[in-house]
Amino acid sequence: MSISFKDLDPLLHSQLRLSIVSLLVGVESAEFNFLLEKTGATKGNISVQLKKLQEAGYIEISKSFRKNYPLTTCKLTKTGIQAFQKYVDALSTYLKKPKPE
Amino acid sequence: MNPKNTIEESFNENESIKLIYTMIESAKNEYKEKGTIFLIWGWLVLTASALEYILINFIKYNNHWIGWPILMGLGVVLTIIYALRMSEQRRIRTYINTFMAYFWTGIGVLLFIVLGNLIFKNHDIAFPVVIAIYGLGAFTTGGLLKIKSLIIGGILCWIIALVSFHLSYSNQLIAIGLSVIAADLIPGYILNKRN
Repeated sequence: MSISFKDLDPLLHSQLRLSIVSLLVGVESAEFNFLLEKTGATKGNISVQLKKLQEAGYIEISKSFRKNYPLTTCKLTKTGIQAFQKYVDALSTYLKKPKPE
Repeated sequence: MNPKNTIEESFNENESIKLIYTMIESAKNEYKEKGTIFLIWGWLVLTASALEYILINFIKYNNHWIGWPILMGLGVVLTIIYALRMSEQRRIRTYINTFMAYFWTGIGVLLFIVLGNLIFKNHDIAFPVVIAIYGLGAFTTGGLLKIKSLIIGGILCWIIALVSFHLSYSNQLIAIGLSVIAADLIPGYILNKRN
């Protein structure tokens, strides 16, 4: 039985976006290539999802250079952390509910 | 679970929890502390203390302290090079990384202030105080990174510091050597073997 979609943040209830936020929640910041490798997603796909998370104010994206190569770094914002906490709370509430026989 | 081909698809609560857990663990396992920095400082301090001990007791050289500024200066240069190289390789930055950078810089400055003054004004207690401060560094780092050998090394430093307050300056050099074996060299080799 799936969780009712209306109970969960639709922005986080997607495998790739939830993976990105879960990777970022335990760190201060992470590079784009790290997220790419850990999620196994394609560059285009992950860029689209990062943009969505950035537009929602869940993550901050900063661009810089390292040894003349562009470097993209992502960081979870306070809003992002709160949204993740709310999502996890909703999941645990659901898991605690007695399931119908 | 691989989110590669899924963008908007819904998934059940167990898959969701499993995904969160897998990703958090995956980020956690990205960074493993290596023993390099402990080995650099361990060998440099051991060499400096052994050199001074030899210069005092066997060669009877007046400027017996000469090894310290040279080897400690070398330690600072090697630490900066190592830190820069590590920051280039590191793909994530954790709050622990930030804390450790500030904490050890603070310990370094504190050691410089304490040693820089005590060695001229009250050199009998300079090394015991340095060993005690170093014990704090090892103990806290060990606790934070869950490295048992460093926690033990820190405790041993405090015991050695307590004893060395009652030793002669020359024997305090043996004490400082023992403290870096306990809090740097042994944990350093254990960490390198483990990671």
